[in-house]
Amino acid sequence: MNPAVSRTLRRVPRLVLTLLAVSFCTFLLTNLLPGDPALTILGENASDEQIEALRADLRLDDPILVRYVAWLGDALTGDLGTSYRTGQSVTDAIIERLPVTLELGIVSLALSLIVAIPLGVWSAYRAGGLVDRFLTTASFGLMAVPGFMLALFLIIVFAVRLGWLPSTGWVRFSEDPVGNIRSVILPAIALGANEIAVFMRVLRSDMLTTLNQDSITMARAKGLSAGRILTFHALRPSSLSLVTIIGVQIGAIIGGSVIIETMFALPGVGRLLIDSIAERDLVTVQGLALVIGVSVIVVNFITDSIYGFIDPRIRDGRNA
Amino acid sequence: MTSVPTDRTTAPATDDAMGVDGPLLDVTDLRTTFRTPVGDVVAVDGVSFTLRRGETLGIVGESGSGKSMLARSVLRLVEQRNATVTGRVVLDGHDLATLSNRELRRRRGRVAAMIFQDPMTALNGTMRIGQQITESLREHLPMGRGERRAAAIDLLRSVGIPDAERHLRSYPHELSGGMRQRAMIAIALACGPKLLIADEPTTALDVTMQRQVLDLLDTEQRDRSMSMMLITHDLGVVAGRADRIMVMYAGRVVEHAPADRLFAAPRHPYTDGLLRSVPRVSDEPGRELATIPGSPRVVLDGAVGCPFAPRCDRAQPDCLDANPPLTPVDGTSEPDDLHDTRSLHEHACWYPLGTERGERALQANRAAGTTAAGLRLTDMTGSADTATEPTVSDTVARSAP
Amino acid sequence: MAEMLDVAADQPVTSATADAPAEVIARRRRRWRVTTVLSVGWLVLTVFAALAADLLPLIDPNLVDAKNALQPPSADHWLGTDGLGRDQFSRIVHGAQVSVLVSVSAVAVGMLVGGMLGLLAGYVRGRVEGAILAVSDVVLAFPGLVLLLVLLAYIGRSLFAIAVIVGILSIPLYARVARANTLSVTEREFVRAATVLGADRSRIVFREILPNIILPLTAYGFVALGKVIVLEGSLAFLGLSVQPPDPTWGQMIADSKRHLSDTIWPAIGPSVAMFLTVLSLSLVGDRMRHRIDARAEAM
Ligand SMILES: Nc1ncnc2c1ncn2[C@@H]1O[C@H](COP(=O)(O)OP(=O)(O)O)[C@@H](O)[C@H]1O
Ligand code: SF4
Ligand SMILES: [Mg+2]
Repeated sequence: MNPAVSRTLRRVPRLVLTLLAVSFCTFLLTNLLPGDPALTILGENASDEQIEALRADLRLDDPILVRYVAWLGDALTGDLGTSYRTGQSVTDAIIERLPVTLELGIVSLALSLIVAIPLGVWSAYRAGGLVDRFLTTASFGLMAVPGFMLALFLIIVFAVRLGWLPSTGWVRFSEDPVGNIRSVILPAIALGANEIAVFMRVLRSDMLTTLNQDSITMARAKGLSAGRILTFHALRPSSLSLVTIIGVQIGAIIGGSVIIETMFALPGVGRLLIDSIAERDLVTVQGLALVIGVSVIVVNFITDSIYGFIDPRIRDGRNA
Repeated sequence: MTSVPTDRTTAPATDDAMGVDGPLLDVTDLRTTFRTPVGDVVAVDGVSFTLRRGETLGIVGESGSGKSMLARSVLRLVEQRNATVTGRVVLDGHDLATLSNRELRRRRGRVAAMIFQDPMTALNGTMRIGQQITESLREHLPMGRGERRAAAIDLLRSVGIPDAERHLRSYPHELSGGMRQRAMIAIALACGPKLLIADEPTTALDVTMQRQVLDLLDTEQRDRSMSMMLITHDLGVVAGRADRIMVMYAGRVVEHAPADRLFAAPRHPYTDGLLRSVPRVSDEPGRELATIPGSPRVVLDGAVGCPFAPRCDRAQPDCLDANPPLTPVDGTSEPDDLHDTRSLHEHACWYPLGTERGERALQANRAAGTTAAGLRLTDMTGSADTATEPTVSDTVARSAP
Repeated sequence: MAEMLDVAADQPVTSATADAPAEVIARRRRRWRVTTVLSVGWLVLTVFAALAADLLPLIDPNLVDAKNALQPPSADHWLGTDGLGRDQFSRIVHGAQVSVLVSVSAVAVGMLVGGMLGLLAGYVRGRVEGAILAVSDVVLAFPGLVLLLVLLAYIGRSLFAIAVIVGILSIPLYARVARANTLSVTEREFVRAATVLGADRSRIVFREILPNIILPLTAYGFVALGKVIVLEGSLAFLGLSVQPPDPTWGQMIADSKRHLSDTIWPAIGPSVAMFLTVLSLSLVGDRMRHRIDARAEAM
């Protein structure tokens, strides 16, 4: 079997354990609160019949573990419960909004990588030079601009003053591809700008190490062009930390999308979370927490597995 | 001793007629310095030499003496921002300083190639061996995909890698240490260079592997009538393989002679010290190897005096005042042909071995028990003369690391 | 037979040579950079504003003056007024209170508890370490902001709740830093020697390990302070920060969004204040990390 695949498989049991722990914590959210969960969920002015119905629905009379297993079973079959506020299935609500968040996240990640990789490579290649010093300073500045602040100023400049791009709202790709792209640009930039600085710094520092190695001198002694050396001999061996950090930053991107979706009024998962919290729609909140937690863990698992495919040495268990 | 092929018809044709007649490599006053907060570190200090076609030049010196920087400076590979390289390097008839970046690149890998001490760090660990060979071919030669592949297989076979086709797809870490070094040689030789710079090619290998790799380099060199700069900290490695040897200390050439002359009659105390630290087959068991006291130091620009003085048992007061220039031993220079350095023997020492002046200095220091630089001499055993016996045998035994 | 030469210990160095390896030579001289001085200066100013806000002769930050809403900067209102005509400068100075209070208490909670747990994990190892790492893995699986929002939804929001929850949620991060540094300290010669010689355990922990992990934790804490300040701003945008009318920087920036089509002045003051504070914190943290690295290299 491909060593990278078997390395991935070896890590599955741990993945499953973490997922179980996360789901259990999520489950506990509604169950450890003081007072009657049914009352907490439905709010003060619910009728007695509603509360009774919910109590039965939640099987509140069963022991907690039994309830957890039942809840997990439902979740695994795609049933995250029904919102008592909207009457909509939580799963449906999430699925309806997922494409927006997914597109936003992917576009912003892609944008920040497209900017960060060349800048990181260049600033390592010409380390200490004017461009490098400027970028290092700029990256500190960029990191100190929170997403919401950048969003605000992007709206001021590009929506309010110049009127080039919409400041709120979402157009579906299937309805109007151009409109869709226009509606995703500002939110994606606001969401990804911080990541540019993070990715650039990580890549720069790994590239600096790589560029000092004999393999680079060897590649230069072979008469290869700078472009080829940088991409094939420097970038690839230097991308391990970058991949890790991308995995880590996925969490930050999901968290950030909550704010960005709210600011730009995008109908995404993050917005759903905020709305549910505002309305104390705890069933939806619980479902979302589960989905988000699981996604982050799975994405991290995947990025960790990509390691092995990038660096054959790690794949074969050296320096792993 | 390696026989130097004089027949050059097998050498790859040059596009430049004048290149064929002159020496392959002519280096004049090469100097590499690093700007640092405490002053300019001189890594290579005014080194000049020529290398004829098919010839092997051994470059020897302790770690830190500037050998690697010299090698890199020759190919203009020193890229540190704080580095300055000056001097003239004429490679195959072209002054490298006058070449554009592009023309320079065309010569790297094609005219001159380089191999390094540790293939684990010098090869790209994320690229298959085959690709590392074919990327040079693609860069330099008009070959199709299939031709490149065939050439790569031939190369791997010629450096003695079994099952070459399969190993095209291997990553460096999947090979054993010796095989990796062979693969690196194959990569360097891909485009048929006229000059191979081998920087400590066997230092990372065990004794048997060392021999095999050195023999491989010998064979390849002869087959391709290639010139070679063989860099090592171990005189035993160049013995029997180099035509001429340059001994470096603190970035300077301190002695430069035909190999047999250097082994038979070293002039510089540092060369002498290095020779005594090489074990020989003729050694009686239990012979203690001498070591040179102290360790090399960083030399700053503008320093005066002989850099070896703190470690030298002959050092006199004037050694501390003036740096000895590289001067020919009487009767070895042939001024009628500047490039024919075949028999030239040079050294940079005020009190060299084999001169009355030098022996007097040594006697005086011994008598005083200390040198002008304050080195304490403890005379444990007999005289030094017996150590300069004529040959280091072709079968070189190595001291354990 | 070879002659043995003996090097005297105090062998003088001739002028021809310098007795330092290139790495030492090349290492940057340490000095206070201008940026560091400016950063520290700004941070001191911020803390001073937070402490002295109520004592300074400022306009009441909650004084509504509808006639003078959305004024540009003037002699009366140095940074202009907001949508309700409240003085922006005074609100920024008072807003520093929330930023300083929330961030310092959250970081204090996280650093104390996380630091202790990390030290424990790194020093005791074994099951304790396994358990601490497992729990922190689970907590870190959730995006911090999401978890914070969810918890705030259940627990309700107040300055206190925000600070405590953020503090608790960041415990795993500090625990990791502390553990990593504890591990590297216990590997060092002097700690090993002390252990082998049977030194008192608490002595090793408090005299050898603790001093060595406090600096890295503090450096990390500086950066974390900035993150908490940003977090408060995010919560304000989501309408989940402290209740109005008390000013916070985040609240002020969020409020300014409503008036963007009229004026951008209300956005600028609090944004600059927050930007400078976060920037200063990360610069100071970065500087500290460099110093620690340099020290570690020298050991
Ligand atoms: N980047 C640098 N900055 C300062 N000095 C350097 C740098 N690189 C190399 N040197 C100096 O150059 C000298 C020669 O090094 P090197 O050529 O690697 O020696 P060798 O290959 O003989 O072991 C060393 O003494 C080192 O101090
Ligand atoms: S004798 Fe003087 S000049 Fe010769 S190597 Fe020794 S110190 Fe240098
Ligand atoms: Mg070297």
